[in-house]
Amino acid sequence: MTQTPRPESLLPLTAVAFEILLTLSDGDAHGYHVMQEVERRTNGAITLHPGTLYRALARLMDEQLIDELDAKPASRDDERRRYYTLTRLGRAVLEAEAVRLEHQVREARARRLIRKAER
Amino acid sequence: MSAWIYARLLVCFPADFRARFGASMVTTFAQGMSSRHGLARLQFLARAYVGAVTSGLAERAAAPRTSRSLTDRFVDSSHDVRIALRMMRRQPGLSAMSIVTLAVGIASTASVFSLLDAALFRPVALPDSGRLVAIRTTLAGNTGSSAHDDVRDWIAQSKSFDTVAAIRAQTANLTGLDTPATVRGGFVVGDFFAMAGVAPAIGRALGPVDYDPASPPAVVITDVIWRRHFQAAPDVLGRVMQLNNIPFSIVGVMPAGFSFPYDGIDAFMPVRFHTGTMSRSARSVAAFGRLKPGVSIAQAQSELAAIEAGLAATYPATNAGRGVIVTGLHEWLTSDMREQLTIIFALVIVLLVAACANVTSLQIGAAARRRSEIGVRVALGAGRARVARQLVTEHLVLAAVAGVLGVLGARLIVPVATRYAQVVPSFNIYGLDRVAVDARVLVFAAVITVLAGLASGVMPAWHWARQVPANSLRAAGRAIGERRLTRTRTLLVIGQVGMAAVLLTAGGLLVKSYVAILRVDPGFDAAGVWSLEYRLPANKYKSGEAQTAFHDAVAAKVATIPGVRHAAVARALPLSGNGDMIQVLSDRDATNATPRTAGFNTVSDGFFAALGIPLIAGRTFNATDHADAPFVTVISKSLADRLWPGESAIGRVLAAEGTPLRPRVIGVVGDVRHYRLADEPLPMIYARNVQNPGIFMTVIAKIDGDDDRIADEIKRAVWSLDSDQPVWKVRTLSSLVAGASGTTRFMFAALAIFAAAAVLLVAAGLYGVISQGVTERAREIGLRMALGAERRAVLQQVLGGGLKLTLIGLAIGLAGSLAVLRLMAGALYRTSPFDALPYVATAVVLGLIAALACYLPARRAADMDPARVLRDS
Repeated sequence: MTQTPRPESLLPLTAVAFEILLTLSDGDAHGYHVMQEVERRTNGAITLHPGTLYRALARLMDEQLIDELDAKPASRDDERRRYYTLTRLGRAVLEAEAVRLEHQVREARARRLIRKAER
Repeated sequence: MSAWIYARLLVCFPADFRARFGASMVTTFAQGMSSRHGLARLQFLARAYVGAVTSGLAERAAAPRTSRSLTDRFVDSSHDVRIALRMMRRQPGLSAMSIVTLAVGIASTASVFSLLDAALFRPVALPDSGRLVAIRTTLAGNTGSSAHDDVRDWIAQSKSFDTVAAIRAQTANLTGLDTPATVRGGFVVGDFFAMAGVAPAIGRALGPVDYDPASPPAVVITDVIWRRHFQAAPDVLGRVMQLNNIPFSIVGVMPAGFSFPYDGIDAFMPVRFHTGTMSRSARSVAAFGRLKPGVSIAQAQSELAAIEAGLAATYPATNAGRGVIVTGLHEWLTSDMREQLTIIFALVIVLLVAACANVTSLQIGAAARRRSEIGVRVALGAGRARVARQLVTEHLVLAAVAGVLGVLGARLIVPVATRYAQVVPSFNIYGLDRVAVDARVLVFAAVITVLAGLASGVMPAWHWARQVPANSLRAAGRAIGERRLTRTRTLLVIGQVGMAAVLLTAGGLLVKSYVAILRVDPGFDAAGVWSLEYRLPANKYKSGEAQTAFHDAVAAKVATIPGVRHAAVARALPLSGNGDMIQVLSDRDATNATPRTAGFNTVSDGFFAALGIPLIAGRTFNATDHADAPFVTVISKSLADRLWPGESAIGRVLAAEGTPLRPRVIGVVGDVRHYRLADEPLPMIYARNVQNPGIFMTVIAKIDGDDDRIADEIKRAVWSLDSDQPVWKVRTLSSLVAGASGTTRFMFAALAIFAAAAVLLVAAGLYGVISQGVTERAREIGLRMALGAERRAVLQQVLGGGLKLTLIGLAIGLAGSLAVLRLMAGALYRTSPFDALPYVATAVVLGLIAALACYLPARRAADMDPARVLRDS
């Protein structure tokens, strides 16, 4: 288990896993923050409850994509909260997944299934 | 509490997972709850609870975790559901029985929840209603309305409130239309609409300008009146409405559905148009306030108490001893039914638990047939967790079907129940008009459905997961686990009998209490008594003489109607809700003695005879007590006993607080229950109507027999004297008596249904267990019969076994009732929660039901043909 797998071998990610990694890419966060953030960003399309959230976190930890923080960020002082952080592998997997998704979107767009994003 | 339950539900997760994340999950759950409100919170709660169970079981089933994706698990789940449906089809009788049982439990629980939700959980439908409070004045242990002048001082001095306002409801005559009609008027003090937080849909609210005596009369009407009398005309503003013979100009129309603080106020007017006197002595208005943001009820309460103490120092004659109680508006509106609804809810939960126990025992009973099937699956390599999950899924599927049926049932029950509740006179549950099986009830039903499925399924699943494959595969003979199963089932049946005993005893206590209320002697004879009310326009009948002359003419006219034995008029008919309260002192009390609260009624000479109130001492009123004669009074026995214990009250003099009147007592009459049947009789003071004139009156006619046509005749008698005079509330005193026990009757009906359902469940449970026992022991019984055992002995043995379970369950249930039902003491009238009769009745009823449920399988056992049984097995 110490050997680091190739990021692509862990793809595709589930939607929930992707959203959690995406949240943690903004910075370390505790469980409740992740839950709120995912719900906010997906406009409620993905709603988590503590059960699904922590199962997903456990799986991501087993796959070494995220890590539990030993030291709490200094700015926050709530004793009961554990913080989660993206590992180097986690960031690589997130990027690989994003590339994969982008590729899929590009394919879909080429078939005129969606219009070009307005940016 | 919700977090505590959530923490308990986490047992569904494997222990190591729980140790690692449990605390974080509970914290996250609590944060999620505290940041959500209303429906979102309920949804979150439901999702988290259900999720704790499903995720937990999924986590248990997912071993080793890394090898299984979500898709695999989804496939597993749908596979489980398919097997569950197949099993249900294979045992249709068992499935139907389980589903119906759970559906009854879910339907009852969801129905009661919808009532509870509308009444207690949902906030009052006004903007930011959490800041609204009711402000009541207390005096000598009696809490109620406040004095108009006090409210003015609160408005001027208090700092805790955005707004303080008050209202006095009083029927107003509406004339100028084809037939005289009445509207329910609300006479407001202060910035009433700003306090409620609702602006008129058309026009403007009443404001300071309208309170100026020099300004023209202005009225704000409700949407109902706008539609009924003005055909929803858009140009209604400025039109004239003739109320109490005063031309009011309509300045505003409230939006539809506005009903604050009571249902049915039709027209809001400034308090200066109220026909009574508004002063510091009369406590006549209901006060409310809107707290400033961040101000607590306790802060507002202590501030008002300080203001009121200042008023007591400044105006000792009227305000000595007065206090103030501030209550949240919602709590105030629902205070009188909180306890009863909670009791009903607790009992219906007991019923649901009993239903789950019943399904568990039914399913365990049928498990013998499953033994080999499950054994095969275990032998073929299905993990124990997998088998357990399969069985839990079966129960969840059963529960889901039952949940759908239950919700459909609730949709049938709830409208019928609310319609029934609405026709019970003077039965008033706050929020009854918004009771509905809506999204909130559906979420609740979904949660209890899942919980019911889990509760009924966990025990069989746990049992089978522990089964040893080798044992299960042995088709014949008794597996080791069987004995444990039978024991589990036995315990479940005992538990069900116990719970049914609690329900039945609770029901029995309420029946007894209801009968006690029906048997209360109200102090008057309601038979054949009809009444109606009217209020004379004060600007038409200006003098007291003119008013009294009209009332007496009405009484005289009604007395001439054929069939009328007694006719009278009175300010207040008992149980009508009308009535005044005053504070009285006896002639020998020191001036600083605490006054006593008494009811004050003004009546004509025939009143006591018409209501059959007995004269105990002295005399009642007669023509010598005319307007210029010394002021005299008749008092009730309880007041005489309190003011002059052991002495004759006749000839003594009363001092009534806040008035210069010093009436002399000429007679003592029997006590009556004036406001509620369940209250102790109210001490009463009666004045003769000529000595205390007024514009409001109730006409009373006592007739022989029972004839509805009298109603029209009494109306015509009034109209023959003044054809413009509106009258209302034409009704019998008997209907008021019936209405006074309405709430109890509703409780009684609800409980009767639950108790009947519980008894059916027990009967089904016992029948199932005993019947199952007979099937299992068919071989043994057959052998014994073949060896010469008598039919009677077999019958006795089987019957005895069932009755033993019943007796144990009864003993536990009755002991539990003794411990738990004392909580009901507040809802009982003149009935001790330890009253023996309901306990005995419960034992007899359950005993008989159990005997019947056991007799059928016992007879089947006794009628077995030994030869055939032995051959078949």
